[in-house]
Amino acid sequence: MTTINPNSLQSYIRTTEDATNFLSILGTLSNEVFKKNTTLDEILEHEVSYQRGLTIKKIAADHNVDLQSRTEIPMFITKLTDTINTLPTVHLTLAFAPRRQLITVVSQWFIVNFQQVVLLDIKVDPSIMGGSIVEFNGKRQDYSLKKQAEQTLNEKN
Amino acid sequence: MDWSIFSYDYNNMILLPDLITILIITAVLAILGALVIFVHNILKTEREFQHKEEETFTRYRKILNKAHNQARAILYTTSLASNDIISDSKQTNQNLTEDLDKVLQTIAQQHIHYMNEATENFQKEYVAYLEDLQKKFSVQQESTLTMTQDTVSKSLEAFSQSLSAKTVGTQEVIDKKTTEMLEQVESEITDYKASKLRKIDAEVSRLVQKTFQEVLRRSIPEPLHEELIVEALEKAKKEEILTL
Repeated sequence: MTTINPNSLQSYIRTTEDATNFLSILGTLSNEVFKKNTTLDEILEHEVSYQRGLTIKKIAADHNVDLQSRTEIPMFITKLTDTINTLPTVHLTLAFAPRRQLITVVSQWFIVNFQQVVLLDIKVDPSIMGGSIVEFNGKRQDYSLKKQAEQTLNEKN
Repeated sequence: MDWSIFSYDYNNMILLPDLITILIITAVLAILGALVIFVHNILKTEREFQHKEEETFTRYRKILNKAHNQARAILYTTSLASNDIISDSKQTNQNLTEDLDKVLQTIAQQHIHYMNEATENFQKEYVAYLEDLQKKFSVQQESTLTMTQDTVSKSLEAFSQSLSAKTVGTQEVIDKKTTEMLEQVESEITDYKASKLRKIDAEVSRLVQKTFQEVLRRSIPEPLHEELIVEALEKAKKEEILTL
């Protein structure tokens, strides 16, 4: 099995919360694989929700992993965990709690502009009114409506 | 056995031991005699000493008995004498007390007499002194009153003259001071007004800003929000905040 393509995760992991949940499931799977004399398929049936089970199966299928093989499964789980852990995180402050559709739009924007899946760490601060405060790798810039309004008012005064 | 070899010597030997024995016996007897005499002397001395000691004790005992008898006689005599003295002293005390009372009464009467005299004299002198003092005080009071009236009249006159002389000059000074103070107060009021206006402006600005923010936040539709967020991301990319 070759490395896992991070972009293959774009449909499933978009926010830091998604990543945390996914890593938790992978941790459980990893423990169960070593404990029981069963296949991953069987573990997914019993330990993980149907939707998550389908997702993991889809990713495994995309990377040609045999879910019946007891040798390939631990390696697959380890590589998937490593790939999620290496995804870059972008911190965004928004004026409201975004819907899933908006998260998809933002996530897609990163794929289109940087050809890369990122983890969105979203905070909500209604006082910024609109727009966003963007923070990445220690660099931070305020592109909020509040900031713009303040600048406009200050210029007029 | 041949005894001849001892013939001469034999005789000598018989004589010699006899002599030595006699000498020894004599010496022993002499020593014994001396010892007997010595012991006799010691015993004699001892007896004499004991005899003397007994005599001494007998003498002491007699002396002590005599002293004891004398002491008893003295005590008896003393007891009698003291009883007499006590009896006499009681009598004497009685006499003395009576005499002392008489003397004290006399002295007290004399003192009372002197005190009455002295008090009467002092009272007379005191009344005379008070009358004199009252007269002097009246005179002094009248004099002081007159002097005070004169002084007050003169002072008032001088004050009114001085006041009327200075009023003209003072008026000018007051006018000048009033003008200065007015100017200062006007200046302070202007500064205060400006400061207050600045504060009001700031507060109005803050309120407008807050209202504007609130209204804007509520009135922006979701598509516009989405557009603004994407716009922010575009700017962040352009300004190299996002460098993936």
